[in-house]
Amino acid sequence: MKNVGSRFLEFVLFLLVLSFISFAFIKLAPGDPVMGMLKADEVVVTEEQVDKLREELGFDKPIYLQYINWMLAFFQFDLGYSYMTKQPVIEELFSRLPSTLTLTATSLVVMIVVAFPLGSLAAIYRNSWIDHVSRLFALLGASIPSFWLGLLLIHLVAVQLDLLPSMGMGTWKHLLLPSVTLGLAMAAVYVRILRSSLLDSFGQDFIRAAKARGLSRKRVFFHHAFRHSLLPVLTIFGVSLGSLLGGTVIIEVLFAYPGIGKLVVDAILKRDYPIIQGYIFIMGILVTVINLGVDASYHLVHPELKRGKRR
Amino acid sequence: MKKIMTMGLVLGLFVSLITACSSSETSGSPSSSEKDTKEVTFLSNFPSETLDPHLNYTPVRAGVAETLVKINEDMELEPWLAEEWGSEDDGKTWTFTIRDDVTFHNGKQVDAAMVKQSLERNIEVSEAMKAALKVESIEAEGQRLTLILEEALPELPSELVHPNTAIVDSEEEAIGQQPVGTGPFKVVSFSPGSKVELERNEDYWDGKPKLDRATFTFNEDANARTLALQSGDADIVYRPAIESVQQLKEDDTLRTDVVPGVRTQMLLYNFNSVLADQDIRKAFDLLMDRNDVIDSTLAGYATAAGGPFSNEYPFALIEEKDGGLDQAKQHLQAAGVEMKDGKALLDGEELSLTLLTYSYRPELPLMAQILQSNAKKLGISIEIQQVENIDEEMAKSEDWDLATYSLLTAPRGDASYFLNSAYKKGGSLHSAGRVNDEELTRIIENLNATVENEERQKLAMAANEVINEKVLHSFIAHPSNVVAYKDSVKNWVTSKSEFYVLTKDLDVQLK
Repeated sequence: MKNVGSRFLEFVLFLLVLSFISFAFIKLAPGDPVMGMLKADEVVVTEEQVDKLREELGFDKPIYLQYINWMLAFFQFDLGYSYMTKQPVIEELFSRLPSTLTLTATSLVVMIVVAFPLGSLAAIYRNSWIDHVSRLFALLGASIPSFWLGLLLIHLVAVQLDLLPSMGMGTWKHLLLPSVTLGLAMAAVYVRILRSSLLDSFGQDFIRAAKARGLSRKRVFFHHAFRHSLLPVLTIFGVSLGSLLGGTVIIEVLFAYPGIGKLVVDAILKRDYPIIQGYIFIMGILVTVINLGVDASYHLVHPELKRGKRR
Repeated sequence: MKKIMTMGLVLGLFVSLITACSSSETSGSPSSSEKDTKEVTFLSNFPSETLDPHLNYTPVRAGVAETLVKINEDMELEPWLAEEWGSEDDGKTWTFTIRDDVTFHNGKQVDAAMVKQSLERNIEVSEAMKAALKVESIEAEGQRLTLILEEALPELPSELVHPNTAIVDSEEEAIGQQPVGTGPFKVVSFSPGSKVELERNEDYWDGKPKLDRATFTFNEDANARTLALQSGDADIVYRPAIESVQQLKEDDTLRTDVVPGVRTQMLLYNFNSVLADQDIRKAFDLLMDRNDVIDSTLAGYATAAGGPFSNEYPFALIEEKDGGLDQAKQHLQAAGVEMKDGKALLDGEELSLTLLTYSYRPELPLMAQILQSNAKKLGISIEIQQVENIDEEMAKSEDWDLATYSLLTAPRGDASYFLNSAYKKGGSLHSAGRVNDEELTRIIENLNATVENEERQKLAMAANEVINEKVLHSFIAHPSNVVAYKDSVKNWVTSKSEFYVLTKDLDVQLK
């Protein structure tokens, strides 16, 4: 219970520090949203009008005062309104979050479906043709930029074969191409990590002991070697999950898939401070939860860690 | 053997999954009602985070909402929801007569009171429109709408072409998701940043729209837009990848429109630097061979600029610009620039300049490089700085000399926008370049006090002449608008203003 309490305090402190640092960085970056709000590239505005709006929005106040005002509103569960769309920040972010979560989940499924069998087979049949294929796959995956892979897939699957829609969202068919693009790019990394981790496990004493006990090859692989090899994979998995949830702008743009990444990049370009700040805050919470989940999963796949701690 | 069978089974399942998902779309035969449905999908890169017409152009482009005044393809104003308008006191008070045969999508009659409510909401939510319209109060009586302004604004009818002044039923909720306008199409659903689904407005005041349904979709990537047209996911594609235009033109099932655009790519000079000297500006103007720049940066899809305004406007100055190193050199010499060891020296100091550019329009950094390369031949070194927010950088910093820039100089068919912004003290672009020319200021002041359209155009041309003669800025190119669409699409018109996309006349030939 004490442990949970201290973890919670750490979490709150982390969010406070994160919110202040991000707020300061956003405000210190050059530019503000005023010219964009006034559409200075479309209507005649004067310097006087620009200054007046800056004052109305409180941009002339010291940063710490602006931060205190933001915090006071936050404690009333108010993240403010987007300067560009005039919609509540919470609504804007949560309208994009489900599509980002869906794309994240499906991309991870593609990654697992490709990387786990390929990485395992490459380790089991080391230096065989399948190992060479996995190396080539990893090399290509690391070298091909995801936007180019996406364009290739669109050209092949949507234009030439006419099997799937080239862009947009609405049905599960729309999810396949972006998920495969993201999943394949990630799988290239995981194949190599899993392979080397498995090879490392195969040389361990506990594997030799398991084999000596007469356990079947299947049991030795899945219950001992594979489980042991998952530790580095889980660590990277946490990082991948965080970056996928943070948004995959290039894929979102290419497939016209309106996720949270595109929303935030647009907000950054237009200096839509409330959206940026709300995004950082929500991502801070999500990434913390993911890290806690990854920590918990270590114990799940490796109960020895827990026992070791008790001793 | 068992393993091979399992693998085969998994592979078979995967293939059947993929084929199943395609079969419903491609090989399934449409029902007779679907066969008779006239529908198009329009794909563009227009931003669409909200459908609020007072903040975004999409409702007007998608034919959902309409403005009081519109700009036609001759770039002249014409009545739309307002039948006529006029001012009796040189532009401080304006009276508009609203059409009496228009209803909103929800069946409500459009009268002056509804227009008043819409404009008041417009001013409330959009700081830009509040600044542009300068409305003090609005009066409504029957179909007669009176706008009383804070100061005389002779270009008010032109300002009311702005898509953000679209008239909607502001009593409706969810204006950001489902605005209720007066256009030929009604919103069925909206996914921010993705698509708007539309259906025909059966009671449209200007005749029955030809399409039953339309989808307005968005994709910022030009290559992806081209592929969407080729895969059949889109019927009309706005701005396909410029390098694919030739390939699209060769496709018999597609048509490609290349129409002159009204945007202007330009070179801005900072008058707080050595560019205050007219001869030095003239030299830089000559270093930009318009046709060469257009071929190198826009694959030839643009027209050379003779002045700030596109040749499509009645007040444009059609002038062919020469380019040449020798002439540029002569102007540099006239400005007192000397050549020593291959370097240009002014007052004994090396002529070294800073040029700002930005990547949002990819041709601008390329233009900067062409200028840098040409200037080097005359011994002038140019440092190119690519910035994120060009307006901010130009306004706050004195440490720049030139900037490549892009602007719709007369977005609503009136020259006063650019002239006031760039050359009148206090204008947002003026604060960057600090151009102060008394002759030009007088012309602009005259323009700002003139209501009569013909006289305004004469004054705009006079301003053009001064700008060109004194090379206050250099105007390089007007990029063309490129649209590719399927052969089955009928009555498509590529709007020069880019304000009107889905119209009541747009049609599709059923197979």
